[in-house]
Amino acid sequence: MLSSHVPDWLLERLAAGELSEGQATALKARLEHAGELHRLAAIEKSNAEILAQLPPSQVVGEIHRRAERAERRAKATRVRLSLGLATACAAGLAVLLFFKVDPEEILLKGSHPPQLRIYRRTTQGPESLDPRQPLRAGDALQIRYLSAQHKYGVIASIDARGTVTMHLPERPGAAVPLQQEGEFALPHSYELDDSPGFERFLFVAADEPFSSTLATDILAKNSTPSDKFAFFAVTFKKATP
Amino acid sequence: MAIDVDSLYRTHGPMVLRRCRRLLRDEAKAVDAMQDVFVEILRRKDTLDDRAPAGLLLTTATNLCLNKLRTMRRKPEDAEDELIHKVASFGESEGAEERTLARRFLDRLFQTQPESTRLIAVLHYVDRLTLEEVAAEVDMSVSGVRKRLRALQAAVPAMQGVA
Repeated sequence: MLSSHVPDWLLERLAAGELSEGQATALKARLEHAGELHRLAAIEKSNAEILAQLPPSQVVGEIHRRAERAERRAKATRVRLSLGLATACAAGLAVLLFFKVDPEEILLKGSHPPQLRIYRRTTQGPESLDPRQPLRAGDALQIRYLSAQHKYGVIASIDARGTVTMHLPERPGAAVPLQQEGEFALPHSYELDDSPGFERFLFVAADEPFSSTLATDILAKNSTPSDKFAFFAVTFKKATP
Repeated sequence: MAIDVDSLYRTHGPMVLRRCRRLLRDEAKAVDAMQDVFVEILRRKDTLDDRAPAGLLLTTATNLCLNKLRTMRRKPEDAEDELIHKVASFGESEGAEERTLARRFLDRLFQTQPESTRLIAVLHYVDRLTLEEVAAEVDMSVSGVRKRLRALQAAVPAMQGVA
């Protein structure tokens, strides 16, 4: 004989109208027997509350952004693997692609450099991080900047596998006009994947428009820009899971 | 399968969020995970069919949350939470001194289907589905489900005696 308790899992599938007629009838009978038909109504109420709290107009765009970011990362990984394989074949050697970057370092350039501040989202609110604190895969990071009165900027990061992620703008293009006052938070958090080693964040700023490729080149080549740009770079170690 | 994310989120998003909330016990991470579930569905759209989207989304949410729990390293809040953590950590590599031959054998045994084994364990131990209900959800025989759970109990000593 089946238990009269109806697990949430089955209740959700019942509410979604996904069970066969026979299963649905049997489950409703169990709910009635246990005096728990109100749980179905509670799901309806919860649905309305969640959609009001997290409206599709807000969430669906974020889902597409994440999907595009994941696709870009996957493509970058495929390209790196192809390059690595081709190089390995040519040299007859296995090739490991690692960037030599000192963890915990902060690099500044310019008479009044811009700044990045990295926060980790926690249940108690954002936790300000300094480079001595290791990051972990799954950390949801919020990136904030101070423009130091520079007009245009690009923020990007690179991990130890060499994958570059654009944060501002989120796709390659022109540098973005910067907020001039106070600490400004980027609208979307950034979740770290399981790439080991480190994550290095770079903020390049200038008073004239420029292309985001400048920042991605600096990260990829571990170089510095010319004197007409100011920049801030910070590298966090990543803890081994 | 063609995916209309807007429509899928309106009809099933709240269900996915409730699932993530229950497993992760952290509102911000649950919202993050909920969005990632839809990203995962988009990623796999070419290999999925749309016969039972709720079941697919619940399964994806469960697997994704268990993977996130393995990296979160927070203290379990209660007995159910502790159980979820134990299931989530099943199959993690340990120090050589802690690994027995039997454990290594079982790790290898489950290496091909670690997610389905963890899903079975969560459905039975956490969600309290009967063996028959679990079998129907994962499309396996009852004896197959029982066998997986016995092997899990043998592999994870902390789970022995769990009803």
